[in-house]
Amino acid sequence: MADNSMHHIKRVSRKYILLFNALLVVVPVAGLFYWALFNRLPVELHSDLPVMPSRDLTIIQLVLGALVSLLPIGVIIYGLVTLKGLFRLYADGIIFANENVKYFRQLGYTFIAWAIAATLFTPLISMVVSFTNPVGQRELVVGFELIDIFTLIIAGIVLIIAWVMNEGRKLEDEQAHTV
Amino acid sequence: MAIIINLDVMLAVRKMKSNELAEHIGITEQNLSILKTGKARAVRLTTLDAICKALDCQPGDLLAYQPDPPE
Repeated sequence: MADNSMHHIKRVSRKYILLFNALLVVVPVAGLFYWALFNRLPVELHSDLPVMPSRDLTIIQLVLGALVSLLPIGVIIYGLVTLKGLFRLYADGIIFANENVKYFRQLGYTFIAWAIAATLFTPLISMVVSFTNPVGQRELVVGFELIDIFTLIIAGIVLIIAWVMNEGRKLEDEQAHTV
Repeated sequence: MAIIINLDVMLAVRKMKSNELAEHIGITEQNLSILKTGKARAVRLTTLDAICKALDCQPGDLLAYQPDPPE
């Protein structure tokens, strides 16, 4: 590969590693602050929840909410760690090694995990937010949305790319051992 | 692999060092090392041609086939 292209890939990859490192801190901290300050935040910030809280949440609800949020946050962190590993390889000039393929596969599985986490998050968080409501006003929301289907499609695409990359790796290995 | 590269033998016969051969035929010492240590998966005919010219030998002097013993 031309030196210029490789140098460019390494430089850009190092910048992305900084971004991933920042997100690895920001995402869990933001999650923690969201639940810690839940009752003080504007109602608009809760619009993504499947159930809108009708009153301030109790301490137990806030703790359970934070724990349930670990599902999607955990998947995000796993994805960021995977991306960081992949871009670390790019920053070191390693493009078609076994490890690259492994990280691409992990990325594909991350998307699958995200679809599962999102599907589980919805009913769990709806129960947490509404379980102190009067009887008859407690809600259990179950859903599998179009975005989750798209996420699974993207997962499939990424796994196919990993497969193709593995073939690329074999070709490069063959090339490296051709004199 | 059952193909053996007898490059060390020819280099000794012609009293040539590996780095001299590498420079002569225009490949890196690392690539020549891949060939010498049997790690090469393929050899270009142009490389074989260059080695034979440099060492004044035949391809058969460099390559041998030694099948693995049957189990």
